[in-house]
Amino acid sequence: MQGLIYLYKTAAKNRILKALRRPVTYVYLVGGIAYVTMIASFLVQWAGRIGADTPEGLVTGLSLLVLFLMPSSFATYAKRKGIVFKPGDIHFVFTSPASPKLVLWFTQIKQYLLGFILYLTVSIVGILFFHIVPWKMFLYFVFSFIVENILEGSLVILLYGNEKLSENTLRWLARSLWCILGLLVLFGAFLIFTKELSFQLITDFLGHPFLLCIPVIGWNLAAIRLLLLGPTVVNVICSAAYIAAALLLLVCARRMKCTGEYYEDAVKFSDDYMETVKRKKSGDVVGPGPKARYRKASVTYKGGYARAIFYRQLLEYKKNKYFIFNLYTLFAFLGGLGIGYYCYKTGTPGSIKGYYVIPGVGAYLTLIFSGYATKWSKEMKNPYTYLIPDQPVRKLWYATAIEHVRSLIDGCLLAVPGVIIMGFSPLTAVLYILIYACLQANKLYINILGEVLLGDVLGAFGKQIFQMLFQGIIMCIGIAVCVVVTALTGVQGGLLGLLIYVLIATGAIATGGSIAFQRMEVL
Amino acid sequence: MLEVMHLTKKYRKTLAVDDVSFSVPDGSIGILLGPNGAGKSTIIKSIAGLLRYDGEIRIQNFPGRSPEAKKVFGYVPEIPAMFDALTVAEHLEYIRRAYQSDITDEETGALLARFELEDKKDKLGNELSKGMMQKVSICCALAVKPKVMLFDEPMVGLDPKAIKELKDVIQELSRDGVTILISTHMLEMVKDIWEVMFVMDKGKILASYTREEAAHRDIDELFFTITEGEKGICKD
Repeated sequence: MQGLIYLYKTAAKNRILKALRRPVTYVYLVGGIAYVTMIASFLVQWAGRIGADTPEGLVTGLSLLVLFLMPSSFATYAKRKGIVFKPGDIHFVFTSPASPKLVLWFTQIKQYLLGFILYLTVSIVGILFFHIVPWKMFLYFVFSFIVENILEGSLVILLYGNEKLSENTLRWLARSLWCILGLLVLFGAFLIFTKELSFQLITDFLGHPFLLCIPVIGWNLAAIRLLLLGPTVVNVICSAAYIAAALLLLVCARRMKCTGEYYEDAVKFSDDYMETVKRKKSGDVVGPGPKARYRKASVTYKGGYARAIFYRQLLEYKKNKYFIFNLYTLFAFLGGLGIGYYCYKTGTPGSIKGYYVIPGVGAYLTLIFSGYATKWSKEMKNPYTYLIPDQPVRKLWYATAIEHVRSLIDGCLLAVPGVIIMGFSPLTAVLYILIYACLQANKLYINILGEVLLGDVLGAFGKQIFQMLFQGIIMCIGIAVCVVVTALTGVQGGLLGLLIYVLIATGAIATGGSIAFQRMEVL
Repeated sequence: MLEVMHLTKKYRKTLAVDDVSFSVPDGSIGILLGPNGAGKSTIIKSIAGLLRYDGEIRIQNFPGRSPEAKKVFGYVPEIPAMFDALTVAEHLEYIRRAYQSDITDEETGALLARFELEDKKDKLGNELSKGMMQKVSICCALAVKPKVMLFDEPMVGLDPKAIKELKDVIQELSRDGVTILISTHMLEMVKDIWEVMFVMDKGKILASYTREEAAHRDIDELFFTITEGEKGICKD
């Protein structure tokens, strides 16, 4: 226990001190507070507009939060996932004489702290904006923080640390929790289909005795209602059951034997998680789970030096299940269908506005999806890339060539349905596709330039902001260019002007970004 | 004393360790040898309490996972991992508290000096190179003042001076009655210090020798005779 207290206290102190020494922390802090304030004020205003700035409104919001979070977190604990141990914990904590139950309990500390902040915020918001008397909110705060943490902490130990229940039983337990969630969704859907959808209906649903009687999850909702709305027979009984359940689970958790068999699952989950983090950092779009399986494939190298990078990437992609396609291809496809549907419903083929729907959506998609790095970004972390005797610009080109092919395909998926429905010319379609591919290339090279210019100064999030701002500026200039040229020469001239502008901008950024392929130390 | 009795470990359908039994007497230096995939790491991780297993492991006569066993058990894993936000000195302080070890400040200072970590003691875990991490990992295991010590490929990543120091430390520990088990591929590194040898392949112990039983036979010769001989038998 002493060791764990020392570990968590010292680590937290060092982290805070380190963060305070970095100027970027203050930037993030101000940005974060501004963002949270903006979201909160928006929610409060919205609640006011729909007449939900009442105790019932807050109870509805909190109940939805409980329904959204509780079953899924219990299910992850039952699957022995959801708690991430770092490699340092495995090395130094798992092998130490610390009680495995305490180890589990301490990993929850961060969650307790987050819960503390959340409940405190909810209490303040409740008093200020939902017109609830302070003593009730204080009671809610104390009750939620203490009872919910006792319950959740005990459940974590009982589910995660259990050495008697077989893996199969735990799996079924997780499934049954998902079933409860499914039943709730069905019940909600039943109400929506049988009655008219309104805020009152949601409130009725969340206060329905059937829902409040569901063990643990429903009882929690009942306790919230009891504290903030006042007693009813169902509320009181279910709240008492909730407190009794928390105490019972605490006693069971204390008495349960736990020698640390869960360490094996924790080590495996930690390895998978760390691998996923690593893969995400290097640009793969993946979730925690088994390693990717590859098919057999071959490729003929038609050229050497930097071109070999292209063929090696092609070989890797051929081994992939979905070749060069990924989730973004699906988004492009759905975007294309959406545009097609929009054009079908509202299309005015002759109007200038109609011509700019497709490039507009393309630009929007390019901007909102942060620069996802794929195989090209790994090239920059590979020492062999720098050892290849070739020009940095050629290395950059061949490392990113497949991305351009992918963008062209995505551009086709995005543009073709709309073009067909609107009856635009093939030349217009080609311009759309090229503009989209150029915008994507622009994003990609801004990404590389961001790496060169910023390195690790702002962190991953800071780099994303830089990329979005930079590309936003380029797009704004592009819109201005397009408007002027369209006014002077017509729509196709405008599109061509836009394409030429984006090409020049992309070329300039790519030349700057190619420094990244000159020396590894640039990064 | 370290005792492994009928240890069996399956990863789903793969049998990684098949009914393995061995023991390392008090104050002896045991080495666990075997090619890649032989099951050495699984045994080491099972002893360290990181895996579920069938069979029994006893450390100083305590069940392997019990707090009493862990209190007298030091472990140096193959791939060291540090706490990112703790300095080297704070790692040692954590060990002192977690194990209620009676190691003094002078002793931890001497340990750091021995492994040339004095000037690194204020460095955070995520600022260390792999070799440095390995040295810190060794220092932390020694700070436990263990009765049983487990090394998994301890020489990997160490510079020659640190390897020499480690070998000296292992022999000193042995003289002080500490039981040691080293799992390694680097036969050259352990040939002067081993006292009991266990050669593994395919999840089983193929042979075990004490230094006396091996007489003056070279460790490489013994290892290859056992492993290659086994292959020969299989072929027949």
